[in-house]
Formats: sequence, structure tokens, C-alpha cells
Amino acid sequence: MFIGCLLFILLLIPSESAASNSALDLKLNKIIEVYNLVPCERSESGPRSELGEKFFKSKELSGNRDISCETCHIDEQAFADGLPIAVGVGGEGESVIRLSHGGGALVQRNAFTLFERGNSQFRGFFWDGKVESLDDTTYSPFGDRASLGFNSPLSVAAILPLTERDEFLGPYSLIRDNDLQAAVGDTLYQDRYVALSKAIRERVWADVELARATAASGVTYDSFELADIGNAIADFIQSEFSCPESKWNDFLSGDSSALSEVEKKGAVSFFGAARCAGCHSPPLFSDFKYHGIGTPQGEFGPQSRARDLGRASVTNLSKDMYLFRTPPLIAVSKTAPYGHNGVFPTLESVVLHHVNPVAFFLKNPDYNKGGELLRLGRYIDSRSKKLRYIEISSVEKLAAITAFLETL
Amino acid sequence: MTSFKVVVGFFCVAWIFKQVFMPLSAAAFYSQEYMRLVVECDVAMESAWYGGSNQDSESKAQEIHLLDCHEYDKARKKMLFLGLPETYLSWLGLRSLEMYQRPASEFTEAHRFRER
Repeated sequence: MFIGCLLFILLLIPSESAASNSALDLKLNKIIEVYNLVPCERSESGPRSELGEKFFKSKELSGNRDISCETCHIDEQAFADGLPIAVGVGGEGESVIRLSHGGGALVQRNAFTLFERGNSQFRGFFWDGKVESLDDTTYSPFGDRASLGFNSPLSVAAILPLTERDEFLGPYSLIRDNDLQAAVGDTLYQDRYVALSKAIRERVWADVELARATAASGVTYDSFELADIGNAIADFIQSEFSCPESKWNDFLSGDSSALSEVEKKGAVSFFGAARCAGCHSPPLFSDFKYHGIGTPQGEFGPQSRARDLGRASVTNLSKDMYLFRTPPLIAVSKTAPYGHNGVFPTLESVVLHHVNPVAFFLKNPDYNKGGELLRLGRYIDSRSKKLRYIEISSVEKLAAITAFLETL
Repeated sequence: MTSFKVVVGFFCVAWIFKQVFMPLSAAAFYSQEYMRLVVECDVAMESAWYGGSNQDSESKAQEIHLLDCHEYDKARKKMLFLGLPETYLSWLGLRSLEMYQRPASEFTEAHRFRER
């Protein structure tokens, strides 16, 4: 009888692992309920998607015909480029090869992935939100023009790089400008739009394949504007880069075994104690607001050493200094390095920086020398007050959060 | 008479099982986990207090974080059901919250001369 009782009590007490999984699933169900989480769905192909793909891959849009969108949004790199900051015009090759070539212009900031940029809930584009949709109005360097002819803020964002010297137009030349540079001259964005529309129109209509595809989409030579390119690329991005496969989406679709126990623990911390979802809010894991985590300035690039003011360069407000748009986390584990200037080489390092900015500077003493020694306070002071509520009580929990991020 | 002895014997064993074996087993199985949950619930409640509830995102995070207290409650009820007294659980709670307190001797010991 005693053995029978022993068996009875052993049956009564479930195994530790089973109990833990059951508690985790209960918490995850609560998370799904509280955050109203649903699996993403792939977008339908837009009417101009095929034309958009042609523009996306065409070097005809760059001044010296040496770069296209896909140069920095590389298929094998989850449509980022794997570099701290992108290398624009004048470079050769892709990713690390492009950087080591040494001849390309360094672009202001880290190139981001294109996943879910076409999602209707995606409101702010670029690290400083220079293209932003608020109350159905799109704000951008193009001013009022942003509402004319463009189908979405993504359409505006898609053509902004075309107007930049380091990304598409080409560097200043003492000898001779290319035709696109000659057209835009020293104009500002609104005038640059008109000038560049005309100059690129010539190139598009001179390219048989692009001209045929553009005409087939209903755009005529006379009506052609940069917005037509933006709308086409936006359609392509919307259909091509929507809802990438992920373990997290499989889990939300009902496959509870899609996540391991550690990943589930990470998800619970992410949405709960660690408060990550406070800014990295689902479904795109961004609140599209501007926050600081005390990211140091990069070592190289046009805006290194205290000169990248972040959101303040758009709003001209001192309170926005060193703030950047909360980066969405879709496919985040595949888009290293991290931060607006790519100073964080790994996911672990950037997650840790949220809770402990000191660790980075101890590990990288070069960021704590010279002028930076006297400037670090600025970046640290810009840290969001939300960060003080993060509660991660062990390195195992930190590792679990990183494991969860790898499922997105 | 024999059947009476069997019944008494059965009840004796059952009594020992309920009053001794079950509580001891519960203490052995659940004490560590209970102490961990006490700390986690304490942290969750404290975070919820300081985090405030002005923002929707913070309220949601608190709601999830406070589920740790639900787990604590479940463990507590399970241990009570298995016969552990309130006083034992209170003692475990105190122990878990004082777990991080270290005696001064640990800090002073390193500064003592071992030999001169």
C-alpha cells in the first residue's frame, strides 16, 4: 500500500519540465490576449510590383550607373548589407567586399532590412523618421509634394536615396558632373524632385526594358515623375518583403512547438518583466517613436564623433538630440550589426546596452578616449526613461530574450 | 477482529502518509521553487508600483510580469493542499527575501591577517 501511495503522489506531482512548459504556455496565451497578437499574412502583389522590381535592380537610377537599391539591400543579408554603415556611390561589390574596396562614399547610417516596410502600420521611415506618416499626412524633405502622386509614405521613402549624392547621385566632381547631378545642381529637395524627375525620365525612356515596363503600367513620357518610381518600388517591397517566415509567426499560427522552452521564456520576459514591447511593440516590434539608448557615435562615416544628432536633425529640437526611431525587429537576428551606426556587432551587445551602457564602453575603450571622453554624458543623458523599468534578473534571462529575438 | 485491525492499520498508514509523508515530500519538491517564486513576485509587484500605469504599454507589461505572482499563488496553494503549514511557507518567504543578505563576516574575513 505504501508503494501504491508513493506512486500516487509521484503521479500527482508533474515533472518540472512539463510544469514549466505549461506555465509558459499559459503566460504566452495571456500575452497573445493582452497584445492582441495575430500571425502576419503575405501581401498581395501590387499592380506595379514587376516594374518596381526592375527599378529596384536598375543602376540607371544612379548618377554614375554604379549602384542600385539591391546593392545595399542584399538578398543573402536579409535585405540589409551586413555593414555598420552602408557604402554608397563609387564602391564595388557588396557587403564586406564593398567596404574593403575603399573607394565608395560612406553613407550616413546603417542600412536596414526591407521586411514589412510595406505594412500599412509602418509609419516612420529611416533612422530619424525623415519620412513619416502622421494622421494620414506624409511628412518628408519633399514638403507638400509628399502628398502629390505618392501612394504611401513608403513610396516617398523609396525615392529619397535617389536624391542623395552619397547614395545615388554621385560625389561632387571638379571635372564634370553626370547628367543627374547636372540637372539637380545645388537645388533643395522640392526643386530637386522636379529636376531629377525630368533627368531620370530621359534615362528611363532611353532604356528599352524600363521604358516598355513603365509605359505598360500606364505612365506616359509626359506624366512621368519620381513618384511613379516610388510607387512601383513600394508595390514591389510590399509584396516581396511582407511577412517573412519565422518561428514566431509559426507559433502565432498555432504551432506551440515552434518555440523552444528557452525561446518561450525569452518571449515572456520580452513582453513582461523586461518591458521590451513597451517600445518594440508588436506586430512590427516598433512604436515608431523616437528614443535614445545611449548609442555612442561611430568611429567613421560622415556623421561620426558627436555629429549625428538623430531625430533632432529633422525637428531641430534639442530634446530630440541623439534619439532614433525604435527599430522594428522583424528578422532582426539576420541584420547585424546593430544601432543607427552599426556600433553593436551582435544582438547580445545591443540588448545588453539597453540595460547597461557601461559594459560597452569598458569593452571598447576607444569610445572613451579623446573628445568622446568628454561627450559620453550627452549620449547617456539621451537614454529613454523607459529603460529604467527593464527588469532582467539574470544572464540566463538576457540570453533567453536574445533567443526569442532570433525567432522573429 | 482481524478486519478491525486492518482498518485501524490502514487509517494509521493513511494518517502517517497525510500528516508526515505528504508534507515532507512537498517540502522537498517545492521549497526551492517556492522561494524563487516569492522573489519573482516581489520584484513584479515592486516594478508594477514604480512603473506606474499611465501608459498602455507599461500596463500591458505589468500585466504579464505580474503573472509571476499567479505562479507564486499556485505553488503556495499546492503546498498548503499537500499539508505544509502556513508558518513553514512564511518562513520560506522570509528566507528567500533574505537570501541576498550576507553576514558582515564575509566581507571582513578577507581583510584579516592570516600570518605576520
